[in-house]
Amino acid sequence: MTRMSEPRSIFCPASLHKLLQPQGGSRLARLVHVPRSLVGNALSLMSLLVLVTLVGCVIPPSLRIADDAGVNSPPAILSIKSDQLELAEPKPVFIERSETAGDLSVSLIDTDVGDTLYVRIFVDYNLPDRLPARVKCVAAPNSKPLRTVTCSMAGLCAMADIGVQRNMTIVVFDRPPEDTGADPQQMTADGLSTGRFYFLSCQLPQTT
Amino acid sequence: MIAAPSHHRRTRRATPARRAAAWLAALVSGAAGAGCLSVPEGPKPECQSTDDCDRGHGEVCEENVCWGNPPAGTFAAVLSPPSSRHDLVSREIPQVIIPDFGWMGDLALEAPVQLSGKVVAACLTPQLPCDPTPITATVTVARRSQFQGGPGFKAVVFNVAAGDTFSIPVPRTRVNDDLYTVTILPDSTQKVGVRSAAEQVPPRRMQVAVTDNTSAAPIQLGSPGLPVIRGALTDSLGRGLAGYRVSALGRWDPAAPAIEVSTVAYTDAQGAYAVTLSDELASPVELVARPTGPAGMAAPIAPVIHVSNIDATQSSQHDVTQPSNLGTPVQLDLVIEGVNSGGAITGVSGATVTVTGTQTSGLTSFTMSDDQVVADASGRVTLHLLNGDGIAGDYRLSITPPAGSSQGVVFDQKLPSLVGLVRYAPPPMRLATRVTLSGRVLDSDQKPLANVAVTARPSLRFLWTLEPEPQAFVAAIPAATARTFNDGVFVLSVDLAVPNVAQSWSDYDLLIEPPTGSGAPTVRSEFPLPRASALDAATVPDITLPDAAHVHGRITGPDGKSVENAELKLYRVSTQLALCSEVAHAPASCPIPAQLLSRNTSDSEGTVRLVLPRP
Repeated sequence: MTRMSEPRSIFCPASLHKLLQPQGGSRLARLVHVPRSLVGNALSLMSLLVLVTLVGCVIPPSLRIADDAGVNSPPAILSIKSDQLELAEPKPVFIERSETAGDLSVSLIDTDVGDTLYVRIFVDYNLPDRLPARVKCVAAPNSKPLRTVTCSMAGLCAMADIGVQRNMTIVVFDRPPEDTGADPQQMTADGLSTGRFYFLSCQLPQTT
Repeated sequence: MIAAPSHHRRTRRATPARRAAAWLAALVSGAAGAGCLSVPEGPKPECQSTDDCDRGHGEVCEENVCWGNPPAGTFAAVLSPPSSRHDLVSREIPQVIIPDFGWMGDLALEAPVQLSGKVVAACLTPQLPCDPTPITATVTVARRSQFQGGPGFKAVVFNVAAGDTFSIPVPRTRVNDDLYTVTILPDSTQKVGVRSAAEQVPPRRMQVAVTDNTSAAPIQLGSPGLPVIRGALTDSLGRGLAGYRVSALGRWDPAAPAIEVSTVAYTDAQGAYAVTLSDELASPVELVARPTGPAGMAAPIAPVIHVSNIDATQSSQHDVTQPSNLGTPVQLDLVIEGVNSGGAITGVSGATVTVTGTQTSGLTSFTMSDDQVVADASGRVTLHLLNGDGIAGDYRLSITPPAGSSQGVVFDQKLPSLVGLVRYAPPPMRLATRVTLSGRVLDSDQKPLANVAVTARPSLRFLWTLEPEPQAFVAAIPAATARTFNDGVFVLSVDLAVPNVAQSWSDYDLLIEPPTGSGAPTVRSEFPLPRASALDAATVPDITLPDAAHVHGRITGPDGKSVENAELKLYRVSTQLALCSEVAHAPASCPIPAQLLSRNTSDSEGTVRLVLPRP
């Protein structure tokens, strides 16, 4: 959980902080590729910065997680991609059983950059039992809102699933879920989660 | 092959960025030097000019990153458009050349061509005039990868409604490309009072080239004169076994796993059935008859009947009489326990429990099987089997704990005889504790790396040494995954071996994935567990991540315009297929996957950046 600003900041701290970071892929990084106009803007910005530093110190915000007293933000799933394509809800997802099951690449966003995100894949959850997740993977914090985690699909499909359409729910939690017990999706009170739903069609391995 | 752009063009793009970055850096260092400006620590820029990079190996500085000096090897790629771009289709690039300066140039997605059609059932009585009947079917289009071990192309349209047209975007077939394999499976959903499509016509497989958009012409399934397997299923007293779902499993490609290749039939009161085979099947087929219940009701407790080695090229009759010694239902109550991390004994919620027994007579076998998942912390699970002396002394138990469990698997464990019993509850079954596999991940400067995801999966070498049955069992065990702590240490729980399978010591592939944006590459490392009959813990030698090589390119459409949110997956292609001859049970097609080195999506300018391991 990270506050985005503090009252004691006297100079657009977030912008300054961003300027001081490598910005591969950001709007600033793209702008610096535009030759003249940007260089002019950059000069103006530099002048302003020099002026401010002469007047007083720039005190940027603390990004320490321990300082965070704000409200927890929910995690979100940006995309889920198989080896071949992005999965669109709730279209049937065809997963092979065993070593050719492949991986899912799950792209996530959470503005609480210090949160570890826990991805769980449930099959027929609450139908009728709240069974534990069949696949677990973790997206560790990387000091950035965006992250990607690779989840192995081995173990997602059981033999009993072949030829039967199941319900698959992919859930991301920002607190560790219980994983077992009466409700494996339960978290501590301040935890938040987001999910996506798909129909799951398990297949025997295809080699062609 | 991707043509690299001129280095001149790339350098020109970089110049303003470097200049602005240098000004900023100078200003910041000056202000900080004056003792006034306090800024939060961020990642240290790798470079401010190309002089800071390894120029001797072609590296150049851009965006404060040294690009280039990629690892040696043969690379291939798969480009995938974002799901919102229906005007684009994924593309395989069998050979990607990465220049020393790391700019891969423009990587172009292509416009799809549409493979369209409408599925109909053929008129099976040609002497009578009739219109083909539209049917519901699932259509799968696949093409083998254009590079060794690549994922290939596959698209599925699920249950196209009767009368509807399907239209599947596919890459255009070009000269020397493999043909597409189109497999059409009629819908087999059972509905009261209505024959499903799968009861009318068999599946069909075709090879097609798609050089342009195809018209939505009817594709006929079934034809007069296809081989038919018919017969009757009866009990030991000659009474018909009604309500069995009968179909044939087979393959068009000898290297492929068996799938349903016939119509589906439900036995009538006399146990009679008849299924029609598809054409051009490559091998003998196996007849499978499963007991079913009335709609919405559970199936009766009865064995699945298999008749193997049936000639797929001609019609034949197969009557099956169920033996009298299979018995009547018996309820098996199991309690699955394990020791948790606190040392307490608890039920293993989420464990999948399977019990199977088979009686074989020549080419016919009767398999009684049930599998259930432990639903709660009590560890209790109930299975329903048969108690006859022809099968009840031969039951085998397998247990797969849930993902991340510290409890071990059970495979092919013989159960006490259930002959003559109506209900049986053995003592609680305690699962063995898995081996604790620990290690440490270091960055290229030998410093511990935190928040690295480490996933252990059985290696292909290990899997393919196993017979097909344990191989399938092991491959379906959920992968163990953990992340490293601040000291770089990770701890996983893995199985030492496959129980009841001789010489099945486990080898694991460790997938080491640093957090997104860390700048460190993803790597794989094979680790064989020590060969010991009893092992509580094993330590992986320190894993030092190699230096990172940064490469980039631009993803475009066929019109040359940038495409945002497209994905590039870069593979290292290996033609070393020796493994397949070194292990006993590799699949016939030896599908050694190409190694996925890195994947990322493009930004709004279409630029995609990858981090590769430099050996």
